[in-house]
Amino acid sequence: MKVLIIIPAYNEGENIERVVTTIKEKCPQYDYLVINDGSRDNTQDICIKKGYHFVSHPVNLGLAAAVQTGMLFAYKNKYDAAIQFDGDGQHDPDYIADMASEIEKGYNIVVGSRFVTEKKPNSLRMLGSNLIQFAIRLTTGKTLKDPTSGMRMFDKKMIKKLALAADLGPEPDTVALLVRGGATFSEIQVEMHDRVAGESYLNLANSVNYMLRMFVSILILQWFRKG
Amino acid sequence: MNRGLTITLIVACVVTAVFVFRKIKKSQFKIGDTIYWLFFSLFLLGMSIFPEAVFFVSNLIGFEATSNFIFVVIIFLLLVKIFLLDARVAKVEDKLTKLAQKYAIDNETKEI
Repeated sequence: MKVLIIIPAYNEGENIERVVTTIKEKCPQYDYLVINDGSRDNTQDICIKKGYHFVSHPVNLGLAAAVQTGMLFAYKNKYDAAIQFDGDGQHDPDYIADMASEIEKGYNIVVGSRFVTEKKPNSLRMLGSNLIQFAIRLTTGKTLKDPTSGMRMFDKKMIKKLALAADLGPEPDTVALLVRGGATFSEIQVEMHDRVAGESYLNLANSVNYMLRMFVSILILQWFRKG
Repeated sequence: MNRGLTITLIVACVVTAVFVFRKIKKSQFKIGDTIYWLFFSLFLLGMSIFPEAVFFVSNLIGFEATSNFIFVVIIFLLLVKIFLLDARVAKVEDKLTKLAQKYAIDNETKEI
């Protein structure tokens, strides 16, 4: 099975080398593609110097566009599955093979989930996760235990949709929309690391905005969108 | 607030919502952008359902007519939207310039 590991990277000069080295070591059987999203730091220089497989956006287009570029590459090169793999070192490539075998079983979407066998901790962030989980259950009838996990693998059919559709960003509402459109999903237990370097964009204003967008999108707009 | 204005607000609310949903259906709107208009539409509906609240605030600030207050509020909301759009257009223009320049330099032709 042809699997593409999509690594979106925006100003990840401190992380990218470690991430790609780990992937090459642990998943030599899969292809990877770094999408340098118009970074202003030395991300591109590192990619050139190390001879990484990468493409560069000439300007910063945002995470959604970076992942979509990866999906477009996967679609054009007829990959069987593509996984979004964060460039900041939070995801562990050890789980990619397990996720790929779930795709082989016939699932359209496989989510690397932190809470299949583990219990969800009680924190403000997990309250958000629970609310989104509830909204998704309300509209699709299915339970996605870790909706905010960014570690998602998609099969051929989904790759085509994600590559060509507008506004199907790497967010929980996209998964909800695809599932409502008939896609099947499976979750496998994974462990995620904290960011090693660089800073997260998560703050109160962003979080409130994010929750609002997810709710409006999942509960209201989904009924008008094409799945 | 007179009945005519109330009905106008309700109609405006419905028209805004229908417009937003149609745009979403055709994938011509981004999810994030719809939030502003949906809240705008809800706000219009709120004002038409609870005119007392609008009346109260309007009096508190010292407007002679409640309708004037409503106009000012709506104009303010639209100004905010224009301001944000202006900032966004500037950013898009800048990106387009950079893209075009990169394309031009990458396709440099030398005369022989």
